Parts: sequence; structure tokens; C-alpha cells
Amino acid sequence: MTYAKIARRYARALLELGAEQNNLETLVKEISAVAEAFTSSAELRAVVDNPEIPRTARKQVFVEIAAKLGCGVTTKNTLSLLADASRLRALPAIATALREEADRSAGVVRASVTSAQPLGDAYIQKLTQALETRFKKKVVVVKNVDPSLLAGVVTRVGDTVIDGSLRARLDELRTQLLPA
Amino acid sequence: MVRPSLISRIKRWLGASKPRKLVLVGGFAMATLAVTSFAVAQEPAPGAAPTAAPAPAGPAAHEGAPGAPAAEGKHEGEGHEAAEGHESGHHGIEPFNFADFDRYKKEKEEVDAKKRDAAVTPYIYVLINALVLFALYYYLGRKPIMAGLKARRDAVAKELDEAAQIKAEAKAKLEEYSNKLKKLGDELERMKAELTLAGEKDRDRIVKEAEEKAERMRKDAQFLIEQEVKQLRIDMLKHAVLASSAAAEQVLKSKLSSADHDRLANEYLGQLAALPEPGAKGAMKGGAS
Repeated sequence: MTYAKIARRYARALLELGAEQNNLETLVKEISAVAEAFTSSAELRAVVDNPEIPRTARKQVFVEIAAKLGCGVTTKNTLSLLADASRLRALPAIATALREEADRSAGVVRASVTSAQPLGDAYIQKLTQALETRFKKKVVVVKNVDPSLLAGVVTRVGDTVIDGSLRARLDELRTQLLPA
Repeated sequence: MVRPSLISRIKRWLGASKPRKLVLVGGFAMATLAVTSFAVAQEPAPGAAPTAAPAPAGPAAHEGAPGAPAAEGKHEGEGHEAAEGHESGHHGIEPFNFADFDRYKKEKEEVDAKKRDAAVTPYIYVLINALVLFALYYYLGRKPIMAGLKARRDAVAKELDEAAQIKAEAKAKLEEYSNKLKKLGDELERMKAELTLAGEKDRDRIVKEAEEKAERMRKDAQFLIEQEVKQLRIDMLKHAVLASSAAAEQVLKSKLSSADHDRLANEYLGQLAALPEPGAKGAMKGGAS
């Protein structure tokens, strides 16, 4: 079950709230933190999926997690609203949509940069400039490391993938050599 | 001289028609009867006395008893001596009475007077009786006998016709079989030639079909072999490519240094700048490769 449409509506609402309260970036970070905790914790997912747990208890759990993460009132209220509406499962999708909406409103493009070895800050700066030149937008780089790439860099911006890894070259070479 | 004449008469008789045969047989029977009756009429009745005088000699003298052999030898030898014997009182053949009714009457009176044992019946009576008998036979038996003879003649004729027909059929069959036997050799030769021709045609057809089948099988096998070889070549090539790719990956993993990483990263930056604008054709995945 996908929550893309629902997440998009919640994200727009949170975006307006963040803009009004002038804490959009904080709100995005808080929602993203809770969503990451939900994604990474099997117990937390079990709490959401278990119908025997009352809705109020479920809401209380998420509010307490938000408090421990240092989230603001808006985030806690959002989690309470999602718990009352039984939409807690849509939390990761809401966080992603909120990030995208916030980036769009700020004119920022988020680029996922993956390399076989960690990249230096100087290189990241050069890469950011190159991407901003290319996409003509402000680019925020999210770094990832994947040793299976062997060497080189892979950048993903939205639906666009710019693959400069050695793995891609090997795969391309193998594809060319293999018979159809 | 007599035998050819008798044989020729018998042959003529055998060749005569049936009515004529009947007439001849009837005449022969009547003649036989007449002779027999004549002989019976001449035979003296048992115990009959001589006409001239009573027989002094008894049955012994009549039967030729011993004591009178000389006289009996005379009776059997000559006719005039027999007449003399009658006159002398011996028993002998009485005169033939054809139609002397007075004599018969007189002899009947003598029989009544017990002077003789039986009277000689006039031969005309016997003849009349025979004629009446034959007339009755003719009158009563003519139609059934003729009808029977006619039926038998028809049956025999029918049998003869059937026999002739069977004979004709048998003759035709004989002729047919004779012709067949005569033509059998030719027929055998013709059949042999036809069978040989048919066998040769079958042989040619079978050989041709076998050759076509062999050709098809050869082509199929050739195609199969080619496909197998092709597939094997593909499999080997795949295997070789994958193995070489894996080997290359292992070599790269072991040989890549930090300088190589930096060099590739910097090349990536250069290639990124050379890529076409977003939305343009050919912009993206693997564009920096």
C-alpha cells in the first residue's frame, strides 16, 4: 500500500505550518528523525501494526519518542493527528514528501552522491558546484558509500542518474561482450 | 451264311422304333403261345384211351415200363410205326383237333361214359381264348403302356437333352480350360512382367522416399548441430565474458589505489560538465561512463 497522495497532502500542510512558524527546516528534520526511527525500529512498527494496542497508547508512544528526540509541538501534534487517523504507517512517505516540498519551495535540488570510498569535502564542494551549474539550482548533496562500485561516483538527482562508477563501466563492457 | 443274316436282323430289330418293337415282341409271343398250345393240344390227356380201341396195356405200357422197350423205341423212331402202334392198341399221339366239334362231342360222351379220361379240346378254342386275352391286354393295357412308354421316352429324351447340354457345357469348359492352358504361359509372362514392373516402381519409390527422408534427417541433424554449436558458442562466450568480468573485477579490486579513486572522481567531474543539458536526448544514466 502506498501513501504517496496522502503523504503529499500532509507534507503540504506541514510546509505551510513551517513557513508560517518560520521553522520549516527544523520541522523537516524532526519529522525525518521520527520517520527514520519508525523505519529502523521493528518494535515501533509492531506497535503500529498491532490492532490490540489502543489508539491512545499508540499515540502516547510516538509523542514520547518525539519528546526524547527533542521535537517541537508541531511535530508532536502531527504525530498525534496521524495516530488518531491511523496514518502512522505513512510517516516515512510524509517525511520524504515534506523534504521534497521544502526543497522545491526553497529552490533546492537534493543530490544523492554515492562513491566507493568516502569523498573529501573539497571534492564535494566541486561536485556541488558542478551540479548547480548543470541543474541551475541550489544543490544539497547527500553522501553515501558503496564499495561495490569499485571506484568512481554515482549521482542521483530526482529521476536522473549520472553514473561514473567503475562498476557501471564493467557492466557496460560485459553487456557489449555478451551475445544478444 | 446264317449268322450274318441273323445278326443283321437283330441289328435291324434293335434299330427299329418302339411301336415296331412292340409289334415284333407281341408277334413273337403269340407265335410262341401258338406253338406251345399246339404242343399241349397234341399232348394226350393223362389216362386217355386210344381212339380206335381201348388200350389193353396199362399205365405201365404208356410210361414205358420195363418189358416194352422195343415197342417204345419204335414209337419214337418213326411216324408210320406209331400209327401201327395205335392200331395195335398202344398209347400214342392222337390226331390234332383243330376245329372238329363232332369229335369233341363224341369224346365228351366217352368221358361221361367213363370210356376215356379226357376229351381233346379243339385247338380253335385255345386260339380264341388267346386272341380274347390279347385283345383284352390290348384294350386295357394299350393306353397306360403307351403313356408309360411315352413318359419314359420323354424322360429319356429329357435326360438325353440334359446330358447333351452337360456335354456341351463340359465341352465348352474343356475348350475354355484348354484355351486358358494355352494362354497360361502368356498370362504368366504378362503377370511376371507386370509384377516386375510394379516391384521396380515400388523399389524406386521406396528408394526415393528413403533418400528424401535421409536428406530431411540430414538437414534436421545439420540444423540441430548448428543450433547446438551456436548455443554452445553463446554459452561459452557468456561464460568467458562473465569469468573475464569477474576476473577483471577481482584485479581492479586488488589493484585500485587511492590515486585511482581520486583520478576517477576527478574524471567524473569533467565528464559531468561535458554532459548535455537536462531534458536533452541522451542525458543520463551512465552518461559519465
